[in-house]
Amino acid sequence: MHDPKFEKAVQQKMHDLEFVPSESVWENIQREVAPRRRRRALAAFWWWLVPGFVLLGTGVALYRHSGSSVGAVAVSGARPAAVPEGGSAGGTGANGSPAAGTGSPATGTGFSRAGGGVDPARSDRSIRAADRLAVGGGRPADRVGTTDRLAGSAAGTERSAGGTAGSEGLEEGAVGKSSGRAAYRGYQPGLISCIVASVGIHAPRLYPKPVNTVVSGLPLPKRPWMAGFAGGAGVSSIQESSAGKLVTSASFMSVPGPYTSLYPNTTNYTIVSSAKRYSSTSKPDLSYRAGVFAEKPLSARWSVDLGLNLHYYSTRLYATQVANNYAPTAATLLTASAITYTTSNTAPASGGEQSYTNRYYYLELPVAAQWQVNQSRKVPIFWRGGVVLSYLMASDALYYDDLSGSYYRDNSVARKVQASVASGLMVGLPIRSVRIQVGPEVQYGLTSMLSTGSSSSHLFYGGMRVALLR
Amino acid sequence: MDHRQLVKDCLEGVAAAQKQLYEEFAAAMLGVCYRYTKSMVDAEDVLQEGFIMVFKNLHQFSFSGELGGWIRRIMVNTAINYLKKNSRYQTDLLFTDGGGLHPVSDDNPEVILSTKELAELIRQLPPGYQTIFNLHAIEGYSHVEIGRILGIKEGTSRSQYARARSLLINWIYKFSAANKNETSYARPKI
Repeated sequence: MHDPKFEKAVQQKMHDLEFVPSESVWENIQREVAPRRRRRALAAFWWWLVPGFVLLGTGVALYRHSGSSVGAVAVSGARPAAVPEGGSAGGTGANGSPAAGTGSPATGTGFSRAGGGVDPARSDRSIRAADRLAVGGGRPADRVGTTDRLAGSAAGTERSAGGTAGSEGLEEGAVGKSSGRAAYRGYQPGLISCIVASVGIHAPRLYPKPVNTVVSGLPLPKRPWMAGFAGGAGVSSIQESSAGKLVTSASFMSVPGPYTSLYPNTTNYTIVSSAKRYSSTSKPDLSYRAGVFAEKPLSARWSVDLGLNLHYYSTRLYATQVANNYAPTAATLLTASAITYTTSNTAPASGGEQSYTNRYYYLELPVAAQWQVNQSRKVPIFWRGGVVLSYLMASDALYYDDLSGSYYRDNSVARKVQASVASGLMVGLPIRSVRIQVGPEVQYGLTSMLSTGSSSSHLFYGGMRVALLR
Repeated sequence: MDHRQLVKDCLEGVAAAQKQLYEEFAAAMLGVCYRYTKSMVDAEDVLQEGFIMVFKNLHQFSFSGELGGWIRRIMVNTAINYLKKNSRYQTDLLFTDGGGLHPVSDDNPEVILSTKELAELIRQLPPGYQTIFNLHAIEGYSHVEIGRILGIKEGTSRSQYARARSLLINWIYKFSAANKNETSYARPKI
C-alpha cells in the first residue's frame, strides 16, 4: 500500500494546472452550440407544423363527419332486406340525394347505363341525364352538399324539371335522405387521403435529448417523455372466419363510377335475378398511416409509447364475370332504397374483371411497450407490441348480402370502435441526433369488423413502420 | 453571478452566459485535458468536445455538487473517449501486464517540481500509465472504477498504476537532479 503523501502532493499541484486555450476553441464551441439553437427553432416549427396540420385535418374531417352518423344513411331503407318485392327498391339507393333520390330518370337511367342495363324507353333520357351529371362535374354533388333541407325544395324543383319526380318525391327524398346528405358531406376520402399523404415524418422535440455520455457520478437520467412521428405503409386485408358474409361471392358488382362519386354513402345496388353466381375475391390492397406518438423510457431497455394515428385501410373486390340480366322497374317513391331492376333483358357482358376498392379510415390510439432486444448502441433492435383502439371515421366499403345477392353500402354494419393487437420488430438507426426506427409491423383486429351477423371479419395490416424520435 | 443563475441562463441560450461559463472553467479544464493527452492540440480538441458536451447536457446538472467538479468529470470522460477513439493512442492503451517495477530509493519523494514540470513528466508516461495515474492519483477514482471506465480488470489497474508511479518517481528524481545541474529538460530515458 502506497503512502498517499506523494499522491496528495501531485494532486495539489495538478489542481493548479491551468492553460489559456486559444481563441479558436471558443469559436468552435460557439459554432456548435449557437446554430443548434437556430436549427432547433427551425426544427420546432416543422415538428409542430405537421402534427398541427394532421390534427387540424382530423378535426375538420371529424367535424364534417359528425353532421350525421356514418351508417345512418341508406341504412334503414337501403338494406336489401327492406327492398320490397319485385325489386322496386326505388330510388333512393343511388339516391341519397334528393335529386338522384326520388327515382328521377336522371339517376335511374344513369345507373342503368353504367350498369349495362338498357331500357329503350328511357335510354335517351338516361344518357342525357347521365351526361348531365357527368359533364356537370361536381355540380349536383355540390348542390346536394351545400343545400340544406329548407332549400331542398328549390333544388328539387330544378331537378324535377327533367324527370318524373315531383315535389312530393323530392320531399320524400329530402326527408328520408337528409342524413344521407349529411353523411355524404362528411365523407370525403379525398380530403383525408390528402391529409395523410401530405404528412411527412417529423417529430416535435418536446424535451431535450437525454444524455448518452458515460459520466461517472452523474445523477441518473430522468428519462423524460419524448415525442416523435410514426408512419408506415403496407397492405391490409380482411381475414374472415366464416365465408360468404362479407363480399365473398357475387354475381356482379355494379358500381357505376360517376354515381359512386356522387352518392357514395347511399348507394344500394340491388341485383335480382341473375341465376348464375360467380365468386368474387377480396384481395389485400394498399394501407398506410401516419401519426404522432409520445414515448416514455422506463429503463435502459424498456419504454412505453402512446400515439394518435390516421390509418387508411383498403381491400380490393373483384367480380370474376360481368354478366347480369335485369331491367329497371317502376321505382317507388316511398321506399328509401335504391333503384331496382328486374330481370328482363340481357345486358352484354362488359367483359373481364371489375374491381372496387373498399376504403376504411380509422383514427387509432396505439399503446405499446418496446423492449430493446440487444444491447448494441449502434444498431439496437427493438421488439414492439401493444394494443390499438380504433375508431372508424369513414368508409365507402361495399358489403355483400348473399341472401339478396346485392352489394350495399351501409356503414352502420361496420363496428365503429375496434380493438387490435400490434407487434413489430424495429431496428434503430441513429442518424445524427435523430433516432430512427424502421421495421416490419403487423396489426390484427381482435374485434369483428361487422357489428351484426354471425360473421367474423378482422382487419389485418402488415407493413413497414418508420418512427422518428428526437 | 452564482452558478445556479449562470446555468439557468445557459439553458435559456444566453450566449453571454455560455461564454462566461466557458471563461470561468476553460483554463482549469484545459489543464485537465493536457494531462491526458500528448499535445496541446489534442488537449484543445478534448476541451472543445468536452465543453460542447457540457452545454448539451447542462440540463442534467442537478446542483447536488460543484459545477466545476461536474464539468471536470465530463472532461475526463471526454479525454478517455478521445484516447480510445484516436488511433495514435490505441496501441498504447492496451493494458498488458508486461514490464516490471522501476525500483526507487524513496517511495514518497518530495515533489519540488513546478506544476507544469510535473505535468510534463506525467505526460511523458506511456498513455496507459498516464491515464491510470491521472485517474487514480489526481482524480481520485478507485481501481474498481478505473477498471469499469477503461474496461480492464481491477488488478490490471493496480499493477499499471504501481508501475506508473514508480516510473514517475524515478523521473522526478532524475529530473530534479538534472535541474540542479541546470540542464535543459529532456524526456528522461526509461
